[in-house]
Amino acid sequence: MTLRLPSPGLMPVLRSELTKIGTLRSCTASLAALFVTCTALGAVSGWSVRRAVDRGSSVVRPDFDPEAAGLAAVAYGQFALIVFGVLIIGHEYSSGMIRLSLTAVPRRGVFYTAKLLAGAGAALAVALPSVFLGYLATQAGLGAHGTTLSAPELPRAMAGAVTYLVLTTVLCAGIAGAVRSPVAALAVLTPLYFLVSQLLMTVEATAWFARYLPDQAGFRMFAVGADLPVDPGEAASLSPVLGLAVLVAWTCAAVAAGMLRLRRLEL
Amino acid sequence: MIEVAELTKRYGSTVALGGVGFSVPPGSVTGLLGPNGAGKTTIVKILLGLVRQDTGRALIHGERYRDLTAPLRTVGALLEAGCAHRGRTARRHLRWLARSNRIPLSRIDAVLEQVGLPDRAARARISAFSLGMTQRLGLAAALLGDPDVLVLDEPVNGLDAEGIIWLRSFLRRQADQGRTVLVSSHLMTEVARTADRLVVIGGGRVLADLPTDELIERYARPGVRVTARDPARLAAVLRGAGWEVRPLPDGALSVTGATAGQVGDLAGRHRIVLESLGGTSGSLEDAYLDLVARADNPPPPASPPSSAPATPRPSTATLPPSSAVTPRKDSR
Repeated sequence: MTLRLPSPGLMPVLRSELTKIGTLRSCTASLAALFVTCTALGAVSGWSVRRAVDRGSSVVRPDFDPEAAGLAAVAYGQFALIVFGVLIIGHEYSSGMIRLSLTAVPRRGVFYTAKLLAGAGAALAVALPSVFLGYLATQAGLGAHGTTLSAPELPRAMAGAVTYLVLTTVLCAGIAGAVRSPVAALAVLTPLYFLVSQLLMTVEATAWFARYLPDQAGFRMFAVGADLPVDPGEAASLSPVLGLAVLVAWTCAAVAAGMLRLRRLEL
Repeated sequence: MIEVAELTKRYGSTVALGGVGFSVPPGSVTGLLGPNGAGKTTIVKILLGLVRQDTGRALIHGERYRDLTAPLRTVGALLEAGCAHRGRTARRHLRWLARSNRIPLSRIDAVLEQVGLPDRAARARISAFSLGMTQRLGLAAALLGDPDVLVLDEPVNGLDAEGIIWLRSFLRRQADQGRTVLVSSHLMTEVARTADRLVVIGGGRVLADLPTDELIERYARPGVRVTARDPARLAAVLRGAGWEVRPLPDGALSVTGATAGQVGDLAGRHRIVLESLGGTSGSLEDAYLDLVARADNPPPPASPPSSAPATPRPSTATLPPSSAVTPRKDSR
C-alpha cells in the first residue's frame, strides 16, 4: 500500500514552500508592495525633483545625484520584504501549521533550508524588476534632469540593491524563526530598521557603531556617486564589499539562530 | 505496525511518560485511552517526531518517523485542531502538503470526496470553516498520501453526530483493509465502539492493554441500579452493609457488586420503598474510572478489608458523565 519512492530530498519541499508563498495573500501582497513602492515612489520622487529644479527651488541638494535617486526607493520598499521574510516563517508558528509542516517534512534542516531558499527565490524574482524598473521610473520622472543606464557604477549598484533586498528577506526570516512569532519579529525589526538605525547614524558618538547595523552596512552595497566613500577612514562609510560582508554576517547569524530554535522546538 | 517501547519523557520535574510500551498490529483499530493530561498526545507527538523522547523507542514499520521517506505516504496523522493557516483555501492547503511528499495532486479531489467536504467548501478559506469542517479537512490531510498507518489524536472532537458515525465506519473499513489504526481519545465510550483493543494510559503509564471485550469483562463489575423514595436512607443502609454505592445523575443509585435480590432484601428489612430495581452488567466506563482511580490513588497496604469498596472516585470534571450503559461495538 505504501508507495516507496526515492528520498524526496529538497526539491519537493522547495516546491511545497513556493506553493505556500503563492497561496497566502499576505505573502503575495507584500511582494507586490515592493514592486509598487519602488516604481511608483521612484516616478513620483523623480517628478517632484524635476519640478523643484525647474522652478529653481532651493530644497534640492546641490549634490543631488540622479543615479543615487534612482535607487533611493529601495530603502522604503525594503519594508515590504521585511514583512515578507517575517511572514514566510512567522505564519507557520502563528497558525500552528508548523506541526503539520514538520509532520510532512520531519527533517528540520531540509524544511528550514527549503523555506529560506523559496523565500530568497521569491524575493529575488520580485526585487530584480522592482529595482530595475524603479530606477527607470525615477529617471523618467526626472525627465531632462535624469540620467541613463550607461553610468559605469550602475550594474554594481543595481546588483547590490537586489542582493541587499534578498539578504534582508532571509535575515528577517531567520529572526522570525528565532523568536517564533511574526508579531514579535516585527516588533524587533521595524524599530531597528526605521528608527534606531537612523537615530544612531545621526548621533556622531554612535555612528561608528551604527554603520555596522544590517541596513546601514547593506545600503553601502548600492551607494553610488556622491554617496560613495571618499576617505575610507571616514565614519559611516564602509566600502560596498565590506557592506556586503557585514550584511552577510548578520544574515548568517539570524539564520543560525532560527535553525537552532527550530531544532530545539518541541510541539 | 506501530511499536512503542519503554518511552519516557520529562518536562522539567514533571514526568509526562514513565516507561510506556504497546504495539498496534496492522488490521486493527487500537484506542489510546486516558483522561486529559495522561500523556496520550505526548505519545502521539513522539511517534510523529514532533517531540523528542528522553528514552525508549517509537517506531513505525520498524523505523523512526523522521527516517521515513515521504512520511505522508506511510503515516496519516491527525493532530488536535489548528494545523492549517486560516487564510488559505482547503484545496490550496492540501496542495502544498501534497507537493512536499510528491503526492499526485489528483489525490486532493479524492480525499475531499472521501471525507465529504463539498467542492464549494474546499474553495473557501479555512477561516470560514466550522470546527467539524476543520476536522474533516484534517482527516483529508491525513489520508492524502494513502498511508497504511493512521495516527489520529482526538478525531471525534468537533464532529457532529453524522460525522462521528461516519468516522466510526471509516476507521473500521481502514482496519479491515489491513491498515494500522491508532486513535487517541478521552471519550472512552466513543473509542470502545470502534476499537478492537484498548491501551489505557494514566499518569504516564500503561494501566491496561487488552482487547476491548476482555477489558470490560475484567474490570467492569456488574451491579444494581435502584431508585427509592428516600435514596439517602437507602444509600446509608447499603453502605452500612458494606456495598459500594454511587448516586447517578438521574437520582438513581448504582450498587456495585450486589444482586437485585440482595438489595431488595435489605430494603425490605429496613422498610424502604423501592421504585425500581434492576441488574446492570457493568460498563466500560466503570472499568475505566476504576482503572484511573486506582492509578491515581494506589490502595494503602494497611487498609482494613471491610472498607475495601470505598475507592475514591476521580472528579467527574475531566471525565464524561457516568451512565450505566454498556457500550456495544457496532456490527462488524
